[in-house]
Formats: sequence, C-alpha cells, structure tokens
Amino acid sequence: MGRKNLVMFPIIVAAAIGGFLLVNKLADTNSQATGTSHSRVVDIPLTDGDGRSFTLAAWPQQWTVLFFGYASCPDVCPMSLAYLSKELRSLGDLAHRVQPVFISVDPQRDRPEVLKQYVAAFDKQIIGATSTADNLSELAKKLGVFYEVQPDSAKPGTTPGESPNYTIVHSGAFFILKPDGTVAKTLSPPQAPGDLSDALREIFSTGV
Amino acid sequence: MNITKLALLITAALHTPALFAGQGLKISSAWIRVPPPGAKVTALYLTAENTSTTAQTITKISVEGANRTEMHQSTTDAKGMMSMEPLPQLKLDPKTTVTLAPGGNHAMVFGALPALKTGAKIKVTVHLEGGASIQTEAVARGSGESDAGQHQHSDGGTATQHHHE
Repeated sequence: MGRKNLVMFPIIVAAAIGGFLLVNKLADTNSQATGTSHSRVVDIPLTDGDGRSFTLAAWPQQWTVLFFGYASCPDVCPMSLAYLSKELRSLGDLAHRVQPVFISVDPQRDRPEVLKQYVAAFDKQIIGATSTADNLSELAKKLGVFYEVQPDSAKPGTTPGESPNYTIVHSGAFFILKPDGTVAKTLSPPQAPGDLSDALREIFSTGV
Repeated sequence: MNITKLALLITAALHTPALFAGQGLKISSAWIRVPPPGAKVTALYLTAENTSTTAQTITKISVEGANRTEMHQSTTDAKGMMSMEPLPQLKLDPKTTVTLAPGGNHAMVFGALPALKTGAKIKVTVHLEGGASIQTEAVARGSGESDAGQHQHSDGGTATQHHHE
C-alpha cells in the first residue's frame, strides 16, 4: 500500500502540474486572441479617395470616427452620414480634433474616386476609404462586427454579388477610436441627435 | 396662360376617378434624397394616413424618371447590424398613419436621376390594391439632409395630395 502510494504520488503530481500548465497555456493563448481583437485596428491598409494607401494611424493627434457602409445603400448610409455631418457641425471648433472616415465594404462597386465625391456630398471633412475584402473583414472583425453581401431581392435564386443590385448587411454603429487606434467607444444604432457629439465632448474633456 | 390652366383642369378631371378610388388615403410630406454623386440609388419617404374606415394597401410607389422602385424596410438587429427587407405591400388599418422615414420603411429608387436638384419637385404615384392610385409630388432634399420627420420644413418641404379642391 505504502509503496504503491510512493510510486503513484509523483505521477499524480506530475499530471496535475502538467494539466495546470496546459490549462494555463490555453488560457494565455485565449486572452491574447481576445486582446488582439479589441485593440489596435490601425495597422490595416486602406485606400483613400485619391487612391493613396493609408492606415488609421495617419493622424496621431486626432480621434477617429468610423462608419461602415457602401454607396449603393439607399437609406441607412445617407441617413448616417447626414447624422455624422450634423454632429460634426455641432462640435464647432472641436470638430478639428476628429477625423471621420466612411469605410466602404463594397470595394467591387465603390471605386476610390467615386467614394471621394460621395462623402464630399455630406461633409468635406469625411474621408471615403475602402480596401480589399480580406482587409475589410479583418478590420470589421477587430471591431467586433461583420458585413455580408446579400442576394438581390428582386432576383430570387441569384447568389450574393451575382446581380449588380446586391445589398450589404453592415454595422450601423459609429466607432470612436483613440489617437492610438484603440476603441474608445461604440455607438450602436439608433443614434439620437447629440449622442455622437456628446460622446466626443466627454472623451475630449476626460481623455478616456 | 389660359390654355395651360385649361390643360391643368383637364388633367385634374382625368385623374378624378383615381382620386375617388383612393379616397381616404392622404399622402403628405413626400421627399426624395438627391442621390449623392456616385450613387445610382436613393430613397423616397412619405406619410400615408388612412382616414377611412376600411383597410388600404399600398402595393407600389413609382417615381417619375426612375428605372424602378421597391418598397423596403431597413431593420436593425440586436447587434446593431443593418439590413433591408423587401416590403411586398404596405397595409394601413382604418384610421392609421404609416410613415416612411430614414432608417425604417422607404421606397428604394433605382436610377441615378441625374437631373434631380435640391428643391426640385418630382412626380410620385402611390398605387393601391384594387388598381387605384394617388399622385403626389416629392420635394428633392440635399444628400446630407437629415430626417424631415420632425416636420421642421412644413413650408417648402412637404408635398400634399393633388386635387384637394
């Protein structure tokens, strides 16, 4: 009995230590993955309205306000960009501390030069940008959202993107990024007048 | 001048049957967003009030100069994802009002409507179940205009039903 215990004890201890280490390692990997998905989104290459490549780290002194959409979106995107413009105007002199970016999740139809004209119809301060499908989905993933091309409702049976009149499901949130590119705040829809400008004013006054 | 007036009267007279058939449905505050440059689509919004004691169903809203239109509903899920669902028809129970407004129900308008300028008026026909239709005018608002739902622009911003008199 005693001898058996002497043999088994180290094995049990070794197994326990091994198990602990393994669980610990898994937890570590997990927390790293979570950490990455909620942190910097500034390293993903984007293309602006002039066709120039840039990242969201291009203005280290400013806070970024991001909105995802696409130019063939008849209702939500113009409504949200109109809202964004109004909120920027209500910020007055503080508006220069913000860089608003409209990111098209429709690189297939939205050429950079088209996006440039498109966003200018709302506010000259807004940058219209897009990227490759891979980069866009990575950016969306890092912000905890996604987008998805839908089949044309007028042509049942077509695959997503097959008809030129496809629509895209996308986030209706405004993302406020700190100058270091981490997410400061997410404003989910629907946004009431003053929600975005108040959030920005509060962020400016507290720095958080 | 007189000939124009006469022509208008004749036009009004010709439309009278449609008016009677669609009686009890009042269309107001119709507006269309000027498509931002690069957009080949836009949306039209209006308020439909069923003043009658019978249900009325809007089957289609057509816009002069547009390739085609579809009635849609923008929806937001719990995660803040926005999508559009087709609305085959819009039913109005007796004595109810339905508002087509940004972020909700709207008529999606296909075709860039290049001649559409802010402040212009464009002919809109609201088709009802049973074949009747109501004509109205929508005011074109700038691409960056917010919702007119607060009725702040009741002077120049609303379009009322034709042939009231």
